[in-house]
Amino acid sequence: MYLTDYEKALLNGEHGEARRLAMRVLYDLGEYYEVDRFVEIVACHDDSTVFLGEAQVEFAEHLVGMGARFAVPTTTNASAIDMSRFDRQKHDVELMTATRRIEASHMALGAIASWTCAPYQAGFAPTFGQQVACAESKVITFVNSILGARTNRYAGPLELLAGIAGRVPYFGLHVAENRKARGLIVPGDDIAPEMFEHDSFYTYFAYAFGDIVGDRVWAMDGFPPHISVDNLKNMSATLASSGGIALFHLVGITPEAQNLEMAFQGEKPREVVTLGCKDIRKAEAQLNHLGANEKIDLVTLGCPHFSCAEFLKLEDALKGRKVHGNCLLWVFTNRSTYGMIQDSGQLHRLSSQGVEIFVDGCPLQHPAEKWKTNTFMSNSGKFCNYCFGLTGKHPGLGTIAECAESAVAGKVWQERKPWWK
Amino acid sequence: MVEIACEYVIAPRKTIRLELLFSNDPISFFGGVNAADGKVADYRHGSYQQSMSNKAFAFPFGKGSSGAGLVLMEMMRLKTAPAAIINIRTDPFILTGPLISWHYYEQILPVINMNEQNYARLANMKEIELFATGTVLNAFPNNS
Repeated sequence: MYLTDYEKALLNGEHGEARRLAMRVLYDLGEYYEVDRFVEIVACHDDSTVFLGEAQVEFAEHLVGMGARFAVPTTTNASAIDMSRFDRQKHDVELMTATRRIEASHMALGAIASWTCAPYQAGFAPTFGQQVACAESKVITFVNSILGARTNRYAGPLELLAGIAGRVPYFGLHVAENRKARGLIVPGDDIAPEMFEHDSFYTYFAYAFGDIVGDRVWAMDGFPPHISVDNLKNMSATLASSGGIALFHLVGITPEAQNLEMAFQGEKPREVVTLGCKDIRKAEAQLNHLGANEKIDLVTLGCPHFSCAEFLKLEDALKGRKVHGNCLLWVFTNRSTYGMIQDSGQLHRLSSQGVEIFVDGCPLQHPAEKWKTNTFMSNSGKFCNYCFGLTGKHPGLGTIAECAESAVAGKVWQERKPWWK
Repeated sequence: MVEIACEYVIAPRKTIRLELLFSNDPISFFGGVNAADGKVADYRHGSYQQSMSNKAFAFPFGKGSSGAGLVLMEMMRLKTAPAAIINIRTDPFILTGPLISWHYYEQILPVINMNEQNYARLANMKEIELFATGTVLNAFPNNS
């Protein structure tokens, strides 16, 4: 592997033990992928932030003890809890303590206190063609596919080492050639234009896409150009949970895939799959397990973190009504968006309607036993995909409007979908 | 016993024989595995409710959350981790835990790759034997 003099010095420990460890692990990764050189990164997104066990806390503190510092601007992903209001969520003090240890160590490494899984909606978005190292599956997919910056699927705590070294092996999706789409998924003849007006259509299509494509790079075509950023965000989250997707080419939206020829870098798709209403119904059956009028304990929104536009949608849907006394409506967002809805007066209005708005935290980390929550509903394909594995309960999925109606009624309210029989 | 060609991404220190947990489904360690007991928690996965602890866990490739790295490291700490991982392709999500644990804790979690045809041959196997060097593993259709 070709190494610059600086990289050799990093590897030899001339720039400290932390950078040596970082470079050593990244070098081994490069060997595995048969890489011939490193590439410098301009930013890093740190997903070693949700507490998943003592190992990650120890490791970050060990890095701090070695004197490690990030070499590039590094944003923090969501944490497990709202750091200021964990008691309101009824989270354990132990989880709070662990989260504060994570906060302290990552700040000591020089991270930016963004604490969000949608950093691009909090002012941190790399631009087209930039090399970055991101962890967090849905951030990775959005950054690659919608922004057109380049990252592989880095997992925590490997991204910390990439941030410390300021470089990664030049492999995978850092290389233009490997970003070429191989297969194509298109909506079938029975997918009517009106279906694209339903936010959950995008979620179900994305779920089916991830399920079929697995860990490959494929394109999807036949979508209208006016898809909202929040639908792109939710699609990225969903297909990165049903599949191992790091990059999808949404033809006409993805910067390097403005047309089919660009997506396939001049070649032809090796495989073309058509998704019809049957496939959308199948995806819906995987994510939406609740029927109309079933009682709901918790409606949880903000997976990925809610945007200003989504808060407007939620407020419109609530029409001034209060959340049902037997139901919780929780929304998770980032600190910047929270500041903006506070300034606009929305925070006050939504709070007085019974909406609980949290920052930093993750909807997937819900202390269900404390709240005795047995039935969950969300607008998130990602939440609904992981819900059973984390809580043992099958959730319901609906649009923001359906979630709002359900929270007001305390039971599931569903619109009739055009893809139903 | 059959000999199957493979690549040792991370080889064990010495020869080990392990029970095999084989699956044709990709997995997300976050949300798909319970770190506390090492059991598969995703009801759609072929190995649902089965434990991977101290076994060779074969799945074609990783999917889903980047929490995989942290979950695998925590499983290694709790001693609920698989004793080896066998994939067709190993993405950085899966490789992170074994790679960092190797350099940081000096703890080896062998990672083995093999092509699709060879992977399919593992389907009816009960145990496998891994070696510190070389390019093959042994697979056994019955328990020893």
